[in-house]
Amino acid sequence: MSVNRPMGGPTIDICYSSTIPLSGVLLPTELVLKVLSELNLDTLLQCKLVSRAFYGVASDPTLCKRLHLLQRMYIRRKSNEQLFAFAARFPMLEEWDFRFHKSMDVNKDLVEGLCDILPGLKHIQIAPQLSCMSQRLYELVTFYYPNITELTIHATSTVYPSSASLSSLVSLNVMSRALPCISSPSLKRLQAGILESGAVQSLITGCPKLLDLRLHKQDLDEELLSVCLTRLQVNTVVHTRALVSCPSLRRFDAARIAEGVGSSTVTEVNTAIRDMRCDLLKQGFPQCRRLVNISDKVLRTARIPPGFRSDHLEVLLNIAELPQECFLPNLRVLEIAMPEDSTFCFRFPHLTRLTVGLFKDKRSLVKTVEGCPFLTQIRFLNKRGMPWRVGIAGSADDKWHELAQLGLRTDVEFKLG
Amino acid sequence: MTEENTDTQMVKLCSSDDREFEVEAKVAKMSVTIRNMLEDLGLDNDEVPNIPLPNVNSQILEMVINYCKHHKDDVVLATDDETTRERALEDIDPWDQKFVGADQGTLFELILAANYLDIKSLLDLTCKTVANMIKGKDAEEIRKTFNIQNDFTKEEEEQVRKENEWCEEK
Repeated sequence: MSVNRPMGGPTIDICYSSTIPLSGVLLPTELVLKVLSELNLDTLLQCKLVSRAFYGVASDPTLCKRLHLLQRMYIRRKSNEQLFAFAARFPMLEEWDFRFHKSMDVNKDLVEGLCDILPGLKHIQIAPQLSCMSQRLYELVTFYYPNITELTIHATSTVYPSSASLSSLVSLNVMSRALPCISSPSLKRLQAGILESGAVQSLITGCPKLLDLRLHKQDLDEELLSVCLTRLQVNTVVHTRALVSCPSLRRFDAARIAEGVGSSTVTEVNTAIRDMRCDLLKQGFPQCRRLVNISDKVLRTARIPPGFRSDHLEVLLNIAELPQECFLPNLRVLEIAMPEDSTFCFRFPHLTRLTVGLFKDKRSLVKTVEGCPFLTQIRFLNKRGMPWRVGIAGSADDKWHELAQLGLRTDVEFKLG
Repeated sequence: MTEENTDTQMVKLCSSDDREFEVEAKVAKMSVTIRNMLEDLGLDNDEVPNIPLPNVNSQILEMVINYCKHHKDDVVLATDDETTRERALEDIDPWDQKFVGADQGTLFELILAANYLDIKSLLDLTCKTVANMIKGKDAEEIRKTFNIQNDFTKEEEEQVRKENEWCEEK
């Protein structure tokens, strides 16, 4: 069997076999295909070079459903004809990103031609610099692709989907812009900056299937009622009962969370709070397994107070300080800056991965390895690449040499950066 | 019989090398294949049902059971592909990471078992792990990693290279 070559030239015999040997184990081709579907285009292209069998799998048209990267690399500065030839190679493509075209190049011929070759596009992204362009492009796209399920409008454009196209839309992303109130029977995901009306509940009522709502500039001061919402992002939340009537909510993101706000179902909290309160997990989010500080400051500023406790927390990221007197028996992954005056060593029975600025001294590192029996990796994040604090004269190489001589458990891996 | 009762009932799983493992039905049912078998058998008597699994050896079956025990209480979210794809390749739960940290042979056996037993989360985990092993490598490194022979002729390899260039930005 041979592939159609877009540029002429000889063809390659593809080897299609039902199994492919990997390290001596015969894996069904469909499973290798599943593995390859996790890869980006760069690696996928390398896979084609490995062997005939790999070439065959990596050329599978289903891998090209969302070859996002592929377009970015290719579609810039290409004529319509070249683009059509390109599109014809990937008839299963479901996503087209018009952001990668130069705005002036997007015209009726292009969209019409693409519609002939790729009638199955489901996800379209546009991001014109000028709003007049935006409107035209939006109209073109929705005319030729009335049934797209995912539309992403980037940046400063001022177009909004008409109510007609909203009837089939599943996902809408207008980036950080304000959004007028919309309603849609099919919409599941919505991302915007803020709602013009401010009324989050009326949006939820109008979009009964909404399961992922992200409004990162929105302040929430009302009780939400939704049976299907699983993920919610807002800027701040004030109303203490805001989340209590969302029984499916699993992930909650908010820069600031007022005292008393909570949810008994949320397992992941992302917040920019600087001083975490003891009650945040204990009373607020008792099921939380993953707590991440998302402050956009370069410095990690979140502090955990003494007495902080949670039986469920497994992952704690981007923290400045962690006092000895905290009770986190199930912590598995910890990322902490560790200020230099700390004499701290970690003792967590289940910790497997630790990321740290640097240790105060050699002793606290040794104590930490001893105190965390399941530790498999310590990563150091300081600029000089030191495992612990040293004087001006000390070099990182010496310290790493010293580290290797310490005779620590061999199953702990030390990494930089 | 209520759902509660059927979940705490024990079932016997029998590996290809004839070792028997007794596990809670709730654990065993994470495998769609086993769940279907149990439904076919009907779980309404006191006898402990015996499920033969001729495609899985005892070493792998024991690992799969451990995996299922660890994840039996996981909340299955009503998410679809779009939401899950956000989870990056690196974002593998530490317990799971340790679980698949064994040698390559075992990892591939786990993939085959997860596929046969139809345990989606385990199949996803193991496939992701293999993808992580490929990610960022060039063709020669991939061949080395998985002990693969390059069976292209020189001309063919050149041809594939040209084809690849065509996708890259010029």
